[in-house]
Amino acid sequence: MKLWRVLPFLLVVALPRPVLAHGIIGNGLMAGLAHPVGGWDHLLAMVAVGIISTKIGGWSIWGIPLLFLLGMAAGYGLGLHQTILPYTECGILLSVIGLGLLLAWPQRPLLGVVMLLVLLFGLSHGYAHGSEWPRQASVWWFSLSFLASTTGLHLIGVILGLLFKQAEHPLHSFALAGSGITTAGVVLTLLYVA
Amino acid sequence: MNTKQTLYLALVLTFIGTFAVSLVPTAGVMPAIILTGSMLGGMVGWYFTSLKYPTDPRKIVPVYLLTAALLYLHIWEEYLYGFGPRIGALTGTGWSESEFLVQFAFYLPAFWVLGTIGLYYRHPLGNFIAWFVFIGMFLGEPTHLLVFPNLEGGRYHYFPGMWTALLPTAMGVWGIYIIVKEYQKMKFVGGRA
Repeated sequence: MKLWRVLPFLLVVALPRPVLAHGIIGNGLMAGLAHPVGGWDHLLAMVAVGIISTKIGGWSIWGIPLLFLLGMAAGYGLGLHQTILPYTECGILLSVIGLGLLLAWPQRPLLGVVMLLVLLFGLSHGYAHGSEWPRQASVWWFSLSFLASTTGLHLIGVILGLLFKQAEHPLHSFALAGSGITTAGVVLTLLYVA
Repeated sequence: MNTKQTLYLALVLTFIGTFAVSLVPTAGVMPAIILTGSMLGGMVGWYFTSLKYPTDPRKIVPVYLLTAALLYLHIWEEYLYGFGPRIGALTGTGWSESEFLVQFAFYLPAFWVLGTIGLYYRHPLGNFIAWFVFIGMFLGEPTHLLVFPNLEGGRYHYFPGMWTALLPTAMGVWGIYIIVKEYQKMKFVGGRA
């Protein structure tokens, strides 16, 4: 694998940002838009969802990201109502590692497994958004804007995945991206634990 | 334009949108406009030139690296005379010296250095980064002379980074000239290097 093929991926992850998105400043529309891109945890997971969807191919290219968005919307509702959903922070960190491993897996992952995991991970990410909703912001504007921002990150993932498929060895490209995301997930978990 | 080129264009467009969204709440509107404006300007230049015919690395890499070197010199002047807190006060973001260093002396230069690898391999994204850097130098750096001192009010005065701002600006103009000249040459021979 030549180094330059990793460049698109590096371009995306080279953005400066806090380690975890939670506690970001601002409110309303901008807060909602910025929340998913404000930390490595959300950003990596959401880009990974887009890449995985292209690895599976077919209707999954739009179906898997849509499933994540639905999970997020449901989680957001639970978070807003302060429903107790344990280990959501662990779920978010686990989503980065889990999605990275699915990408790094040398074969096409089972669709059912991916769908279940993506839904559960979406729930965790959405719950975090709901529980951290700025009280002075509109519930609807905040939700619509973070869903729009998440869609943008999925789109970046889908485009990267399609570019990986154009490579000489697509599975190698997916594996490399997956390994990078898994490693980042492990580092984030260690930082969280510390 | 082939599929790959279309995908790279879509990737850059989505990236610029996401970058703008993440930048406004953390860095303020003015830095966001300068950075994403440079990216959009760079994207337009890239689309019409080096996306189709990547520039010969022997011609562009030296100019690009020289630009980066002069930019480091410029960032050194900015750091020495407290650019971070002054621009932070102007934009209302309250950047400290260390936050300025992290953003502009460590993170962004890492991104520019990556661009060299892309340029060397004639990668479309490397060529986009080159356009972004050159346009950024051309449009962004003169703000030290024309905009920032006036924004602070009072008589026209020194603003950190002012003395060295035009060095990377000149390199930006030269870089754009090289890309356009090389594009015209390549177009004439139908893309055969």
